Amino acid sequence: MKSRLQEIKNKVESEITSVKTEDEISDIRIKYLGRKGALTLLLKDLSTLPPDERKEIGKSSNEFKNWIEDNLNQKQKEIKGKGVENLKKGFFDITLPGKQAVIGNIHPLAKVLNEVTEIFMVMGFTVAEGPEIEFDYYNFEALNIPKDHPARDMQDTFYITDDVILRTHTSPVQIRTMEKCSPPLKIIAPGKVYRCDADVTHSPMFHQIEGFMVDKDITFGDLKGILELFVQQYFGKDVALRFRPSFFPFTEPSAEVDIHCVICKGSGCRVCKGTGWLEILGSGMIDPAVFSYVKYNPEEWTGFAFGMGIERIAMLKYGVDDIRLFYENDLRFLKQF
Amino acid sequence: MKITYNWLKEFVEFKHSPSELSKLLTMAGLETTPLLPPPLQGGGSEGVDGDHVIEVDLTPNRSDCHSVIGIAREVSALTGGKFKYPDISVKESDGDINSLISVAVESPQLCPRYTARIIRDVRVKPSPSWLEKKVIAVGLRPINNIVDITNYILWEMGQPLHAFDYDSIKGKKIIVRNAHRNESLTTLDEKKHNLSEDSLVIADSERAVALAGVMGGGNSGVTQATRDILLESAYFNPISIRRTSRRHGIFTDSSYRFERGVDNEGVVAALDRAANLMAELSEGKVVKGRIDCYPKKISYPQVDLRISRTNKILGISLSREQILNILNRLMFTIKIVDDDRIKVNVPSFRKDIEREIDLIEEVARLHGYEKILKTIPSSKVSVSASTMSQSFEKEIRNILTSLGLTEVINYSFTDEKYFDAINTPQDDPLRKIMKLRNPLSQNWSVMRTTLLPGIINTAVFNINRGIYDVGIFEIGKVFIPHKNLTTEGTETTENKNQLAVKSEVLPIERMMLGGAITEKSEKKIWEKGERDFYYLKGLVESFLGRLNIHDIEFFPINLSYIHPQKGACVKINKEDIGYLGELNPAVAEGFDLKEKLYVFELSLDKIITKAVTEKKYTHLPKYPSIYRDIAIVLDNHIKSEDVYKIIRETDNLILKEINLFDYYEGRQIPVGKKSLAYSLVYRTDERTLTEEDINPIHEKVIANLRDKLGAVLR
Repeated sequence: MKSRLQEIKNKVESEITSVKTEDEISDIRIKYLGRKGALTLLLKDLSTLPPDERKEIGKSSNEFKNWIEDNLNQKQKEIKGKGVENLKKGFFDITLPGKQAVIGNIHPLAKVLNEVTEIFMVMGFTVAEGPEIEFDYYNFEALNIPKDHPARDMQDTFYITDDVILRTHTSPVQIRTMEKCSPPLKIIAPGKVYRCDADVTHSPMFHQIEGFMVDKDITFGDLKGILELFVQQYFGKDVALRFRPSFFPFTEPSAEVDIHCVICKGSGCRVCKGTGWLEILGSGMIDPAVFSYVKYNPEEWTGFAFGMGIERIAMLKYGVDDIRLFYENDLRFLKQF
Repeated sequence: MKITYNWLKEFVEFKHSPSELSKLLTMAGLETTPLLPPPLQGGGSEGVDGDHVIEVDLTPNRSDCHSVIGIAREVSALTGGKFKYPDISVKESDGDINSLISVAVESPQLCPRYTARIIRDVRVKPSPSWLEKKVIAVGLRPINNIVDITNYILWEMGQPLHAFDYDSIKGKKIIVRNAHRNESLTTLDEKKHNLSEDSLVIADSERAVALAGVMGGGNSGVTQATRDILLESAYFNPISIRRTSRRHGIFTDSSYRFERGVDNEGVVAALDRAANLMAELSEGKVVKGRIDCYPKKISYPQVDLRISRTNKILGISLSREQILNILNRLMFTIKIVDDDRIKVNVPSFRKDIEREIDLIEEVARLHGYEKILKTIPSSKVSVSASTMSQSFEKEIRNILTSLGLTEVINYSFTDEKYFDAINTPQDDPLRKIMKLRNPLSQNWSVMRTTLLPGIINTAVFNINRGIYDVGIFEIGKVFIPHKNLTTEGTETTENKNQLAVKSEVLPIERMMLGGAITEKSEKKIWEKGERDFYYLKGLVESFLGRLNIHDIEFFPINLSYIHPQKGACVKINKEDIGYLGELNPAVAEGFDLKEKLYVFELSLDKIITKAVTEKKYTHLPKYPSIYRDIAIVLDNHIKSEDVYKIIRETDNLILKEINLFDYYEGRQIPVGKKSLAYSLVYRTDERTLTEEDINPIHEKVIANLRDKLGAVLR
C-alpha cells in the first residue's frame, strides 16, 4: 500500500509540473481525485489494512490529497494569467511622469490675508468691510487727521475729488463700524488700500488688515497680549517681538511692533538693515478724539487698534524681495505658493 | 534728521556709546538708523574727528526734537543726565536798533511773534573749519559764515533764522503782511513765484523781500558785499506755512520746522545766540537792543492728569511719585490737586501735549513699553463672524483652484486706452469712469469698470514669457461712478471748481469674478488636450454647480470684445450675471495676443445672492437605474438645447438624466448633418423598472425627435 501511494505521488508531481492548460488540470483532478481516481480508490482500500497501518497511511494520504488540490489551484491561477510570473512578463516604465491633475493656486497675498484673518477670528474677532473709494472724512478727519496736518504727509493720497479719495489704509472701517454698532466690538477688516508710491518695497495698491477692539477696561497690556499671541501664532512661538513708541494720529499711546528678523534671527542683515528687527505692524490705544467722532464716551470705553501690511508679511514669510512680483502675476511665481 | 554724537554731548551728559544711544532713542520713539561699522558707512557717515552721525527718523508729532537740543532734552529725560542749555549771552555794542529799523506785523495771526537784531560791519567769508565740519556732518553745504550760522543755529536749536542784507531793505522798514494781488517774488534759488493773497511775506516799504518762513528773496539776500545784517527770528503760524510751502512747491529746512511748530519761547534765544556768533565770526558788532513783536503771548496748556486713569489705560500700577518723576524729567512742571489728580504745565516746546492722553503716552514711553505686562482681555464679545462676501470669496477661491485656475491680482486702476483696445463703443457704460487726479502714470490713471483688460494683459504677459498654458481668475472690485459724482470732463477752471464741491456720494463698488484660459492646456499631461468654448462653459457650470446654482442659462451675446458666435451671456434665474466666450480675434490682435483666449467675467455680488448654502440630504436611489443609449443624425444647425428640450419634455417621471456623450460631424454621415449620442438614465423610487416600463417612453423619445426635428436613428 505504501509503495502504491509513493508511485501515485511520483506521477502526480511530474504531471502537475508539466501541466499547460486548464483542461489538463481538470484531467489530473479526475484522474486522481475523481470518483474512480487513483487516490480515491486507494483510500477505499484502506479498510483492508490492519488498524495501525490504516491510521498511518490514511493520514499521509489525506495530506497528499490536500497537496494536490493546492498545487492544482495554484497552477490554475498561473494559467489564467494572474500568477506572479505572468504579471512579470513584458516591460512597464514607472519612471514616465505622472499624469498630474491641474490644481490652481490661490494668490499668495490672498493666502496670507486669509491666514491672518483666521488667526484673529479664532480669537473672536468679526470681519468687517468698507469701500475702497472713501470720503476724506472717514479716511482722515474722523481718524484725527485734519486737513493741513503734517501727518497727512505720512500717506500719499490718490484723489478723485477734494473729498473723495482712494483709501490710504483700512482704518476708515473702524469709523464706519463704530458709527453703526455700539461697543463692545472686536473687529478685523482686511482689504485693498492705495498710496501714490511705487518702488521695490512700495506698491500703489496693496493690502492691509485693520483690527480693533473696544470694551470696558481694555488696556495697553491687552494690546500687547493680543498682538503677541498673533505674532506667535503666525511666525512661531520662539519669535521675539518688541513694542516701540511711535505716532499715529488715531491712536495714543502708539506702538510699532517689531519682530526679530526672520532672515538673520536678530544678528543683523541686509533685510533688517542691520537692526536685527523687522517692523511688521502699527498699533495703539484708540485716541479719545476718534471716539468723540463716533460719539463713544472715552471715559466709559477704551480700545486698541492695529494695522499691518499684508505684502510686507508675505515678503518676510516667503522671502520675496520685490513687491512688484505680486502684481506682475507671472504664473511661475504664483504657482510657487 | 542728522545729528552728531559729539554735538549732542555739548548739551547733555551721558555715558552711552553711539550704538547704545541709537537703541535708547529708538525704544523711546525716536527711531534711529543703526550705526554701521565705518567700512559699511556711506560717505560722510563716519563723521569727522571720530564723531558719529546719527540719523533720527522723527514722527510728525515730535516737532520739539528737530534740533540737537531737542534730542539732548530727550536723552536727559531718558538717562537722567544733566541738560545744558546753549550759551545765549550777547555782547552788544553801541547804537540802537530802533533807530535803524522799524517792524510792523500786519497779520499777527499768521505771525504771532517777530524778532530781529542788526549786526554791523560784518565780513562775509568762509566759516571757520569747526563750523564747516558741523554743517557738512549733518548733510548741508557750507556757504559763508553768515548763512552757515543761520543753518547751524537752526540745527542746534530748531529755530529757523533769516539773514537779510540790511542795505537792501528799502525805507528801513519791515512789514509782515499778506502778499498783494499780482505781487511776485524771485526767491534765493532764482525762481520767480506769483504770490497769492493767502501767502505771508516779509516786505520792506516797497516790495516783498521774503516768503515768510519758507525762503528769502533774491533781492535782499546776503552777498559778499554785505556789510550789515538784519537777522530775523520769528514764530509763524504752522498751517499758513504749510499751505504757502505747498502752494509754491518750496520745501526747505525752515518751512519743514515752521509747519510742525517751533518753540515760540525759543525764538529770542536763537536770535541772540546767532547774532553773537555772527559778530564773533565776522568781526562785526551786534547793535544794542532787539525787536520783539509779540503782541499776544501764546499761553501754554495746563493739562489735568489722573493717576488712576493713567494706570487704567496702560494696565499698570505706577505710584503718583513714579509718574511725577517721569514728568519732571520731561521738564513738565506739576501742581498736585489731590490724591489722584495733578495739573501739568507743558513747556512751550512740546506742541504735541494738549490732553490727558498725551501725558499718559509720555508716561508709557518713559516708563518703557517693555515693562508693561501683556494681558489677554476678557471680552464679552464672543461671536466671531465673517461677512457674507468674505466667506464666499474663500469658498470660491477653493472651487476655482480645484478647477485648475490660478488666482491673479491686478491693480484697480487702469488706462482708458484699453476701452479702445477692446473696441468698446463710445457710449458704453464701461466708459463712465472715475479718473484719478494725481495718477502715478497713464497706465494707472482711471478706476477700472471691468476686470477684462487686466485679465487679458496678465495672459499676454505670461504668454510672452513662454507660458502658453494660462488658466487664471481674479476676484476684485470695479468702480461705477454715482451719477451725482462727476469727475470726467476737461481741465477747465470751471470744471475744477465743480469738482471741489463736497461730494455727497461714493461710487458703486461691485465685486467681480473674471478669468481666462488659453487653448493650450497643461503640459504636465503628455496626452495633450485642447481647451475650447465648451471647456470654459463647463468650467463656469461646474463652478456655479458647486455653489448649488443650477438654473443657469446661456444666451447669445453681442459684445465688442467677444467672438460674435463663440460667446454667451450667463443668466441665473433669468438674471444677467455676466458673460463668457472666446476673446474677439480682432481684440486679441490689438493686445498682441497670438493665442486663442477664452474669457469670462461674472458679477460676484449677484452670484452670492443666488448661491444656496443650506444643503439638505437627498436619499440615494433605492432601485437600480436602467441605461439606454440613443444616437441620432440630424441637421447640424439644430441647437443641442432643442434636442434636449424635446427629450426632456417626453418624460419627466422616470427619465432622470440625459447626458450627451458623443458629438460627430464628418465623413461617416452626410454633409450638413451631425450625430449626437445621448445616454438616458431611467429610474424610479417605487420599484425596479422593467423593459415594459421603459420601451414605450424610449420609443416616444425617438418618435418626437423624428417628428419635431427630423432626426433619424443612427
